[in-house]
Amino acid sequence: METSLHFPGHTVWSLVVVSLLTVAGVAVFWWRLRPGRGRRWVAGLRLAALGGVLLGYLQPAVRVEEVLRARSPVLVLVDESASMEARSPDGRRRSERVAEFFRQNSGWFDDLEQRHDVRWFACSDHARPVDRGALLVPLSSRGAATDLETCLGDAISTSRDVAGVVIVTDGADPSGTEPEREERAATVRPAVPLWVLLVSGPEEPFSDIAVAVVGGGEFTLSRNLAEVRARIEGAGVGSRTVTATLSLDGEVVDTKEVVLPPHDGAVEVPLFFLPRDPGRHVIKVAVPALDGEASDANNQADVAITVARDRLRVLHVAGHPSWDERFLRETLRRRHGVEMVSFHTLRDPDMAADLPDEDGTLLIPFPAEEVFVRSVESFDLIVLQDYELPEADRERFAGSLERYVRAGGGLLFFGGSFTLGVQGPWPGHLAAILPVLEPRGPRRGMMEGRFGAVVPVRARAHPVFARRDGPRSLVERIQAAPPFPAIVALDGVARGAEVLVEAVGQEEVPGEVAGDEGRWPLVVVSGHGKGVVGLVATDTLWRWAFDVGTARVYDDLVGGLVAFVTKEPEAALVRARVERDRVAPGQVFGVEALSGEGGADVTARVEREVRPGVFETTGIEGNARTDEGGRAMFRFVADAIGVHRVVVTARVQGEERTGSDVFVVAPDPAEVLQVRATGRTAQALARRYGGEVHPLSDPALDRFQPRGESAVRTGARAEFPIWDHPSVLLLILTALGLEWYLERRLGPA
Amino acid sequence: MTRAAPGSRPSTEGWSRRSFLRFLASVMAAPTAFAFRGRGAFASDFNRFRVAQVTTGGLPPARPDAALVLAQEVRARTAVQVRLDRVVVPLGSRAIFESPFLLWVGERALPPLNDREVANLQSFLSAGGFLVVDNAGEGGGFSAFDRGLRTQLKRAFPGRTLQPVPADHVLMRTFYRVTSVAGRHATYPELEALDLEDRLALVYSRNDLTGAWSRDGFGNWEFEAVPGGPSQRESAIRLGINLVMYALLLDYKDEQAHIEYLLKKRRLRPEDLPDRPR
Repeated sequence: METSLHFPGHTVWSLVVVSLLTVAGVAVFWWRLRPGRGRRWVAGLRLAALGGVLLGYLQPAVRVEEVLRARSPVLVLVDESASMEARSPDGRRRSERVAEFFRQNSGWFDDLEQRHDVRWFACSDHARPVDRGALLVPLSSRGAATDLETCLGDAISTSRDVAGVVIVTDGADPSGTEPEREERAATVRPAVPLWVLLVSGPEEPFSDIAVAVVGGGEFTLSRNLAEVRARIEGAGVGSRTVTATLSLDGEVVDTKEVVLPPHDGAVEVPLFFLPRDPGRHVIKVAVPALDGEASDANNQADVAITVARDRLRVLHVAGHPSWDERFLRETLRRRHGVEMVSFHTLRDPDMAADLPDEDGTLLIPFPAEEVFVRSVESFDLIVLQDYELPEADRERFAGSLERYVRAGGGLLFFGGSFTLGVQGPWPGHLAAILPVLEPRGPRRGMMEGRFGAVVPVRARAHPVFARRDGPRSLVERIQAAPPFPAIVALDGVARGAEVLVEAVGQEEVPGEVAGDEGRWPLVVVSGHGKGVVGLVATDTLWRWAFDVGTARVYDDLVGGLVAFVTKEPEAALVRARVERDRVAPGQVFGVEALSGEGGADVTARVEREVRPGVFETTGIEGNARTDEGGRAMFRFVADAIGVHRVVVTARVQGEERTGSDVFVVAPDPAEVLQVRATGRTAQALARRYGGEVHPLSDPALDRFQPRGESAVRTGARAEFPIWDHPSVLLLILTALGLEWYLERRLGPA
Repeated sequence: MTRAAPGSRPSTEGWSRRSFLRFLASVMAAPTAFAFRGRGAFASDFNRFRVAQVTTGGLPPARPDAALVLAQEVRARTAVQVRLDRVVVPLGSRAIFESPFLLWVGERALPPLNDREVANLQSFLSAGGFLVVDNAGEGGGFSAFDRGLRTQLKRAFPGRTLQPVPADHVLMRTFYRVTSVAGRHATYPELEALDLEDRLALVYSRNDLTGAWSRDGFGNWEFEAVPGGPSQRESAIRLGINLVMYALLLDYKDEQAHIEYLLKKRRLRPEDLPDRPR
């Protein structure tokens, strides 16, 4: 509790003026005072009355208040940006040197904590409070980039009467230009002692090669060659040749030899890749790390790109014109955004010699080499309908198709007269990708009869059947569709293949023994490498298409197959979408899960790439329930730098289904490119705030003099006036009365 | 009507010995195929192309052999897998949905279609079927069928009328480059058609196209093609084949014209792809 005299309603200046006038008046009065003892009494009484009047004018009061005298805050900010991962010439990381500094100077900081309220912050693009103990070990890098101005503003906003600031940084601050920093500094300028300690300085030897993706990849279309421009900066490494490697989803897709300039500088190099699948993918540009490099974290740059499919590029090759071909082609063409290239064998090659007039036809040779080899990668989907590859170079074309599928292509086979061993040998050259097995024994070719379509229970939640027609699922509609009259005899499906639709004989097929439980595979899918292959073992499904009542069933089944085989993102039953493709370490990010079913339990877990294409869980995961729209949201904090994947799992129609999305946890490219400690930002800070910059190796901490304690009023304030008591008035009246009486007795003073 | 003289030497215009043997073999093939029914090792019969002739009002089919001859020619000249059988289906029957290609030949006044026939016609064409209508009538019969057809089509497809098929339509070059639409005679210079969803669903010939295709029981051409003779008949057969190919391929030929452009415009350089020699 503290008391003090207080003059309410008066400023310091008014008190000074009153005081000066009073002193001047008393002096004049005393100078003009006539000698004599009695007159001194009169003068004394007058002065007493004047004092009373002054008391009334100044209205003094005694103020009583609770005041807390606290230790003033001192802020300690420690850089935790990505550049702190760079190594000093002695091989230690900057963050390690900082931790060692705090351990070595713990005594000084103990003393500081005795005298001040020391508040500790880790700092990158923003400041976050940390415990002092956290600074005794190297901090993991966080944040998008170093921004000391913003950090300082954040830290100062948490305290009043800041007594001093200590900043420990490497001096690499790529945030904005000098004028921008000046502008921001105006808003956070603290009038306090500022002590900047530089972990590293421009005088230190420095060698580093850094990579950043500076262009390309923004508008990437599937099945179109895409270009990425990488900037490779060399510092202190001299002129040398390095190999720049471009990877897509962990697979190397392009390499270039790059010659770095003899002096420090940068080279831009274009790299190319062919994105095959729509959706989000990660590209990585990397150069090998050299011995003694300041940072090997910046020898690679990960960028998440979104590949759009502007149109579905379909190659449709049919063995002969037929109704099955006609209706399939029409269905494919009706799909939105399909660019179709069709080839049909309109006439058998051996027919030409038989015909008298060859000139009247408008036939063109089938460019097998062009479509099966040279341009094969430009197609999202290849449909081989009752088609056998050309006899000449058959193995080479089959090999090209196998590579196409393995690399991510979609392939659909439709059975018929000319393939799958119906009229010729089994296409063994396609054995690697066919999802079905060659029939053994005499059961070959086409079986005719009445076949109903049945979807096995285990396949009913397959994405192919996702399309609905009002309340009726596609599975229900397929099973209610009219029977079809023929199927291709098969001996089962290949390992890993999935039977989506089975044909069930509705009457005995002459000469045939039914397959397992009288069912034959009708629609089969399987994966091969990164691609998907589908097979329809009949050429009579057009019966559904050529019927107003079931045309939609045919469209939806073919549409579902095409979407699945071409991996359309929207076709997945469960989807995950990370709201941003790039997240800074420590930043919060959202994940949207879409399952299509309301009230479904959804699990999301975050995985990190540990080797190219290999992900391991980070332990970050969450559970939620989908809303009525089948949507659930998650929020996670980005962990370590690197390529990450969110895997969402939900049960759809009783089956567990997953979806995933990739994203990159990384600081801003400028942060990893500019790891060289120039100290310019630190110098500029000190200059603007009147502080000092010292190397961490010689911090001159003893000269750091923060302000003293701060007083903070914590309790209620009470004031007791001392001028308005009746005795003051009585005193004035008594003095004036006596002065009047004595003056009449003694004469004027 | 001009018929080939009975007992005259079989006409050989467009009908070589080899073609005749092919025809014979194809006729033989149909029952042979059925003999293997259920044992596999043959193509799906259901997916084979066949020409079904449609009748209305209980009338007997006109030009009853024309459909089979057209099927034979398609089989002989193209890669289309053809089922050679004589199929006559009433328009009011569900059987018309077994074959999306129908041939309707009229030569006399057309009795009004009943409701079932109208509904079937609507469904057949809307679902993707293709109907070739040939007016084989002479004089009053021609006019009566023509009037009746147009009236019934107005009933089935209100607001739509038959429109001339342009000479540069893909139908005229879908297999052969055809410049004439003549049949047994060459009175009208153009075909007419009903367009549904950007495809010709019904094509109407007024030149007795089926008359130019018809053979008698001995394999002779049944009618003379006037005035062009054998070349006019060959042109009529080619038009028939184009009609079949159009039904099966629609605007495939138009698409072919763009393929080279489509492939060239793609940004794909083999040397920049993996697994390619650099």
